[in-house]
Amino acid sequence: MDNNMLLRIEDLVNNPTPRVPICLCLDTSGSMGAVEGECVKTGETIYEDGRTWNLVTGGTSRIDELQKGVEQFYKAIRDDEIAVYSAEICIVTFDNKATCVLDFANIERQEVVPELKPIGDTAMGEGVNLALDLLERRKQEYKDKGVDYYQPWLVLMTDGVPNGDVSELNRAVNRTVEMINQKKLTVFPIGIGNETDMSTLNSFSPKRPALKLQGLKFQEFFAWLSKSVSKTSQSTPGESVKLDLEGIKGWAEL
Amino acid sequence: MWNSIQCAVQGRSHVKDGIPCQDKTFYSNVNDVQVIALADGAGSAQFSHYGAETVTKFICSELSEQFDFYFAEEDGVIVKQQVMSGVIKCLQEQAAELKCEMKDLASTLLVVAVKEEKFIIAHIGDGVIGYLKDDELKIASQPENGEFVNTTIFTTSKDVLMTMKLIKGSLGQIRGFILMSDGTEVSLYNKKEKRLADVLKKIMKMSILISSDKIEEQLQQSFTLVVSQATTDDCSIAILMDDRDEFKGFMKLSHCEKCNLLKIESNSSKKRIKRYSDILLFLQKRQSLVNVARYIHLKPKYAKRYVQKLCELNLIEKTNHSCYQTLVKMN
Repeated sequence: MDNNMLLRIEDLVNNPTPRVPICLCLDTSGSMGAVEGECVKTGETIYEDGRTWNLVTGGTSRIDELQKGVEQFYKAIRDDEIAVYSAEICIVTFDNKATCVLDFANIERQEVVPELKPIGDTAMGEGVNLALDLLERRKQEYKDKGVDYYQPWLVLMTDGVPNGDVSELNRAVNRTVEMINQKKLTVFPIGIGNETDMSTLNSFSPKRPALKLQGLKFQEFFAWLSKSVSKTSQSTPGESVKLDLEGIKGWAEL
Repeated sequence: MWNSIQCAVQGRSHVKDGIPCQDKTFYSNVNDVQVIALADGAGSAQFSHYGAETVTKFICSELSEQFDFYFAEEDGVIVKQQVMSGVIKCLQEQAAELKCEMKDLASTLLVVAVKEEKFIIAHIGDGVIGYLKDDELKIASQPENGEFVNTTIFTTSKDVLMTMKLIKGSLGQIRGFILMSDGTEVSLYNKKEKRLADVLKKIMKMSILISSDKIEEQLQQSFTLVVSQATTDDCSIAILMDDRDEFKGFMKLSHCEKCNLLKIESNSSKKRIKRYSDILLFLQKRQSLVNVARYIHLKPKYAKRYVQKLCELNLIEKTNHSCYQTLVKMN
């Protein structure tokens, strides 16, 4: 019956898949080296990221779990037949300064997730500003190349109190809030551990409260995030993609 | 005389989630006004499939009754206001009936109306309106998405009057119009080059050669098996094609015209053309390949080449029982 087709695959035009640009803005300050679980104090101390820390052996550090979570996120996106062609990820880290450690590209070209190392202070404002700049630049590239795109996502993860430049932090909050109010950005502020300044995180999210990660459930969070990317990349005009709040319960406390 | 073709298929994600096809098309031919309309119901609106159906029917009826008034009105804003007040009234009535809010009936709307030598086009939201002029496919109205691909304007949007597009003019060399939803855009509209797929020209021309029923059947099959596989969204299309050249049937064509239709050299032998003509005539009644071979005095493996070519040109179709039947109008 194929002979009766009025049009065949070779007759179709080849439009690029609409993209979902996602920036992971990750805290890699010294406090992200904090360890949970069974560990033994060495008796040594170190002053970093605004406080004194006991050095220990054993246990699991936040940064190691974050690293595994990000790698899991990439794997989940690669395994999703739709998200793999639509999601585009960039990673910004912030410690003493903000750095783009992995720039936007097709997922298949981002073979290795860079190693995240905990060091220095928490320049959160600088990190968020760089993330917003990169998202803007990527959107312009899409426009220049005639590629359709969805609302960009900013995932902000921190375990501490910002101690970078105050004016940079205020600028970052203002830019983020303005974009959210204009429906130009979706933000996921995530607190890690018990020492996170949730009020600062909340200031980045005027529409819903920031979420606090349960323990070190980074992998659960990133699994949820990848499913949400997949859902968004299939949404059609007028369809509001509702975040799966039941799914959040597995990894976050509201 | 104008021919219309319509087709709407449920998207893969809607099949999976048990959501009805939210793309609706409608055609009317009343008061010598030909109208095709297409509406794509909003994904999040609960009853958008009803809303889409209602607005397509309303706009066809409205333009049939008021074509001359709308065409004569110089102020486009007045036309938009009057059209939209009718659309809103219709949706309000339906919302009351369904006990829902009007926004639950949100959809896009694309429409082309033709009367004698005049046409009117209106467009709200995404989707594409194209036309065939001087044997070239052109764009009349591009998709109106917001900055993001999953946003657009709907019949129920506050700023609908600001973004609604309205075009009127004389047909001149325009031979046909085409409407498509955003699901169809994915496969048949090159977004970067703002160009429609060439195959649409073939389909528009086929609508003159083959009966509307048959071409809609084939289009439905093509959309289900090909177009809808490139997206998870519903896909729809509506075509209005001028038949003023009055195709009287294959047998009335000149040698040159037959060669053109069969896509063979114009200096092809009369014997070759006759073979094609004989097959087309013979297949007006369903026949097997063996019978065709016998009829044209060729071995089946040689007759198969002729039959395959006619299939590729969609002038005949293969039926369920490995038989073939002519589609093109013969006399």
